[in-house]
Amino acid sequence: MQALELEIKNLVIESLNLEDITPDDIDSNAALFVEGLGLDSIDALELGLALQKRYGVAMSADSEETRRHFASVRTLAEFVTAHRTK
Amino acid sequence: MSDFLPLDRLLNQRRPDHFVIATRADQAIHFDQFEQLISAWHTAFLQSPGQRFAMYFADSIDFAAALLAAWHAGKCVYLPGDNLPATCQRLATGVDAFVGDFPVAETLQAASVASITEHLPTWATLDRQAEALVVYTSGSSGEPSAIPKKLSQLFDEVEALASLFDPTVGESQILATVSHQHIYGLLFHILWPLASGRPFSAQRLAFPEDIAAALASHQQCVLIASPAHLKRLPDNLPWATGKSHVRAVFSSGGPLPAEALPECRQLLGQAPIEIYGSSETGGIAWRQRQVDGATQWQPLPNVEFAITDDMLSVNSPHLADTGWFQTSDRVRATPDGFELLGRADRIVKIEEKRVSLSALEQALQASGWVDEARVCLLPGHRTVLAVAAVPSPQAWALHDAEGKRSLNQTLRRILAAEVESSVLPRRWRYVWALPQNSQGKVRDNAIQALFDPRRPSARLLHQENELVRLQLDISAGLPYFDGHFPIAPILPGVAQIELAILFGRELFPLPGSFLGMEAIKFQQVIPPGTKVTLELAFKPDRGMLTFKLQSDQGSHASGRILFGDRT
Repeated sequence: MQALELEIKNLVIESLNLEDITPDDIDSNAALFVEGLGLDSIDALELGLALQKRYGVAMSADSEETRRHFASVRTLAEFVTAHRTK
Repeated sequence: MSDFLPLDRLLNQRRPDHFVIATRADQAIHFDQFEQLISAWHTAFLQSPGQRFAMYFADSIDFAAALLAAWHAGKCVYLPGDNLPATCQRLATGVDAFVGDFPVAETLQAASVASITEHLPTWATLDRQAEALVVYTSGSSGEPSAIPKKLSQLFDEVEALASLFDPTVGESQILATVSHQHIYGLLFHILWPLASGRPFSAQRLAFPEDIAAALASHQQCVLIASPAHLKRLPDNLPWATGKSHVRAVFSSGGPLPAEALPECRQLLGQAPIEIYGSSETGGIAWRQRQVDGATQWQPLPNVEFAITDDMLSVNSPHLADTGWFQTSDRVRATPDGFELLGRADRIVKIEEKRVSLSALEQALQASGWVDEARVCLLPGHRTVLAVAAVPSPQAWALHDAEGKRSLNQTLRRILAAEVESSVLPRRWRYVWALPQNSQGKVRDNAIQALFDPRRPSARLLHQENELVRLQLDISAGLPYFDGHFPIAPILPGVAQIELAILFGRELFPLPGSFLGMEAIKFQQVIPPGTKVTLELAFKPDRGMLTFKLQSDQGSHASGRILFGDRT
């Protein structure tokens, strides 16, 4: 799981083109959006696209359910583990 | 198809009681229920002594009911783009009460529906000349400026949209990714459907999953969207069913990049109908790009335009008065309309949000953290704002003690009070002085050059006459290390010379062309992560730049580079 978390941190940094941030700066349990890393609604759309491309995760039609997994790197890692197709 | 009812007479001409006005989840809201909701709000507005009401609802049905109620009670509605605390504070001085989802102590409450169903009011025709709406946009001062609207401006535009697009749209469910708190969503998601008799959805579609599901669940539908979503449609969602249901897709709020068109056509079955306009002017022009290279916009019905010195002026019933309105958009005439060339002022649009670059710069300078700042646009997949700033001594102290990111975050927090988070600058460069050209002007391209990935971050250590010393951070992320070499990366010699020239040109008026090099020595390799001192001396009379690269490890390289006119 830790390897996947690191991979996701790198994916967040690369896909959102974040500057001055290394994987070490991202706490796996900290909020990704608004507080914590301070990502915004556009980042949420971008990150959804990147996760789809990298892991083939299919987002369910229930967006509230899906987006709950976007809370932190840890919840994303759990989501990817459960739903990845590649 | 339903009859078009002018909005000023919607309530007295009425729809049949069971006519579906809107839907919430899977539930239809009929005209009689909608009228009761309006009536409950109408009672509350009539009983309230105030005249000016700030209104914000997440739910579009509640919003539409309260809005019509306020207008029928002769009140003026102030429509903020968000309900953030700072917005409420700003509104508080200008309005008499708050209506809807505001985080304030007291909001106007609708009368209970039970109390009014027995005696619905006799609805009058609305006065089209009433100044009954105020929308907001961020003006050049940075403070959102209020734009009052007469009902005729809105209703005339709805009539123009209906005449142009009703045949295409037909009987469709109206879905939206945009908020009705802005003029585009208000007109396209609420007012036009009400007038043309099409059900609109109560909930905004926030994510692509929501869009795909909503399109699939309605036999015929129209999507009121913006580039934020249309350029980020994931292709693995189940679009196929929805695609056959889509009658039209509208896009407005900002430019839709041509790169987004193929995916829109593939996943939604058609190119979006793009609408160009602004909060001040209302709709101006439209286009539907069947081919990617098409650039022409054609005016909407009843919109006249003129081009003076490349600048677009418009005259239309959607304007506040009958005169010409000069926009800040540069255009070029085409056979049936015009092409947009860009803005002439320092207002830019980031993800459909209008931002004043000057206002951000003023806020940064007023904070005391920076002595001087310039904000510019960096184009790319996601266009972002970038800041080049000259930090104050206090800011440098924070930078050195806690890192660059701490200073970035401090400055972002200052700007967060001014603008929404999605437009906050995402790139920062701290420099000892803003780059000036020979006329003493700070040019955007010189600012943008500071964000070139080939330029390492640098600190000025010492400067006198024609001698400077800089500290360069040779970080692993510099592109010079790509493939040089995969296992043991070192900074190529040619890159070291390139750095001397790059900073030489920033600091000295190096003449003309590169003529040659003398006495070049590479003494020790520079691995990633090294902090090197770059010493540069310039002799103008000989056009000669001398450089030395040193670090704790000793001397890395030195030499002389000659510049002048090639003869």
